Amino acid sequence: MCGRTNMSIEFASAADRPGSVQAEEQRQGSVRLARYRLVLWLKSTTPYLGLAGIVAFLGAWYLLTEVLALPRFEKLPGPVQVWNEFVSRDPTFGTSMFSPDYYKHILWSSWRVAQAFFLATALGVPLGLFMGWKRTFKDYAFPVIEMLRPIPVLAWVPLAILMMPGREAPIIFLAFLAAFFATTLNTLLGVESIDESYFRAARCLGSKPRHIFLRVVVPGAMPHIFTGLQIGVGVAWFSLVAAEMVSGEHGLGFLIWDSYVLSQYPVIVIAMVTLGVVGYLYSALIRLVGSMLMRWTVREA
Amino acid sequence: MNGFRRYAAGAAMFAAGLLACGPLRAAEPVNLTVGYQPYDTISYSAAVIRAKELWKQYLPPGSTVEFESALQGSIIVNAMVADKQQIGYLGDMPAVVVTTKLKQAPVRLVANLGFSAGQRCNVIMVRADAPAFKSAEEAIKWLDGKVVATPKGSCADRFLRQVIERTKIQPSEVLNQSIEVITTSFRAKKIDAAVLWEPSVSRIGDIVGEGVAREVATGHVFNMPDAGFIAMREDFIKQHPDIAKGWLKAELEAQQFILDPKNWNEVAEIVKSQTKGITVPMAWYSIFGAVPPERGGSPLRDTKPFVFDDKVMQHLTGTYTFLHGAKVIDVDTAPAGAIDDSLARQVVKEKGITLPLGVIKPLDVSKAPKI
Repeated sequence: MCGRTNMSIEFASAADRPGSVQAEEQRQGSVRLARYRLVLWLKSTTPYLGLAGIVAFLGAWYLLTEVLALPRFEKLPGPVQVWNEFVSRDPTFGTSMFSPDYYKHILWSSWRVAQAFFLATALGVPLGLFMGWKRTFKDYAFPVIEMLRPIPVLAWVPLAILMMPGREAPIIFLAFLAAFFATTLNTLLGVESIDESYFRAARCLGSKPRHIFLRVVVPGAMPHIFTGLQIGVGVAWFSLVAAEMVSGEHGLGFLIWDSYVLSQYPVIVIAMVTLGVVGYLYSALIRLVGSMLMRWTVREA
Repeated sequence: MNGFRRYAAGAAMFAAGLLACGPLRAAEPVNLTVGYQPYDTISYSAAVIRAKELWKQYLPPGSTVEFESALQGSIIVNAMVADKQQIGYLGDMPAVVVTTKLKQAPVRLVANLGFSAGQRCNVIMVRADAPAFKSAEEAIKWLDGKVVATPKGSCADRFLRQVIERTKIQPSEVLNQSIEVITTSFRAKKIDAAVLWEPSVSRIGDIVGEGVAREVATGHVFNMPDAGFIAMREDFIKQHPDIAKGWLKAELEAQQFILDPKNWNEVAEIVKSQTKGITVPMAWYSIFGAVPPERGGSPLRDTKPFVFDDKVMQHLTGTYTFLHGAKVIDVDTAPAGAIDDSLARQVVKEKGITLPLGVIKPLDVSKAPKI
């Protein structure tokens, strides 16, 4: 039986307006919303507490390695040593903010993660949506995915080199694997978390299956999808070290591995911090896109 | 007064007795961790020590030794610096690198494991379908514009950098790949050449190996030697000088074992038992087989100076300078005390042995054991 439910399904009322005007209104609305959220964020304590956290972390690192020089920590490069190497015009080990190769490594890694991430999104989101929507398909696909998921990225290296053409494809494949499973599973979880009453209400009101998919399943799963995308891009970044062991020449993961085998500890830290910062920016970008696409969650908040 | 004289005499005798005893001997058992590379011929002596338990004759009863195998020296470098290993078997480049990590842990090079005319670690291989070269020099020229791989931080990496500097060839790419990735890359034809060390050269080569690559040149062509060294943490040597010396005695015995042609087959069997993918012919050929002259073969496969003679010191000095220029290390000479073969020389003197211990004159591959 159909009953009254709270629904935030958007029906075709907006379609009465011309498409270009509607698109422009949506764009302006997104910009206003983004500006509003930025102002709110700056007025809150969040950014300042975050900054304080980073300063506290740096302070602890400095104390442990360079001031107190505690056992085990004394062997690690301290923030002052790392910073001096990073800002040196003639770095001891050849890598600093003034060396062009440093930026080449960032660009290579960023490009590889971007490709892996988009592939993982393009394949993982539809797969997760379909698995969540069609039980029979999930019964077929889920055991295979769950068997492949725990296999570490490193274990795929020899097969990736053999299977994939060229040298870039294996690297993209390894980073893609890491992101793919996170994206698929979170998307599946997102669909399964949608309240059953939305489906019943849509069917009662005469919606066809494709309408249910586009107007209930996809928007309903969006929060989980974007959580999966953030996790996916994060795991793609931290799989990069394994992936770039295959590359042998460029990338932040390669720089970490290269510095490790040459025992150049300050450079290891420089590469790690850079990877962390760039990875954080990627996640922040995804969060921004997600909040623009999921305006209703802001309204509800 | 008589009482005072008795007291003084007693004290003097006690002091004399203490001096006569010398420093306290470390007779207590120790637990050692030794990093070695069974996939590198410079560690074959460690493999012999392990297989025959030679260390038991020279370490206090009850001591234990854990042998940790590594695919390349840089792994041992980091383990030694982190105090996970006290003794390490290293090729020349990681050996030099480890001595420069003074902030983390002073490490000394205490003995030589082998010194060859570039027959061990200075080996250039090309993919199996590369053209047939008439000489090693022709093969080197072919590398211009090609994709070459080598494990960074290894003696092979050092050799490749020196070859590029000397010959001015310009590979299109120089990749940092581990041995197993290089092997797979050769199979998949994703690289044109690689610089490696034995026994991986023998394993993937076309003389006794899988045939996915072909040896074409060695350091002998350029008069560039290669070497291996035993490294020991300085704190370990200071705390247990007798243990350090005992280990060197075991090492001396192992090197003498390897030098005796009667033991060559057994050495190959020992290496096979401690590795995967290395057959007895591969292990045998990697240290005892003759490399064809047109591929860079030298009349001597290896020498065992044991200590740091003039040639070894010249090689070490040159390696420090070269690596500093390449911004691999932050010093251009060995830190004070880092090169110290005094214990090794004591061992040799006590045994009444003349140096070098010996040389390995390689045999034709037809003499290799079949299985």
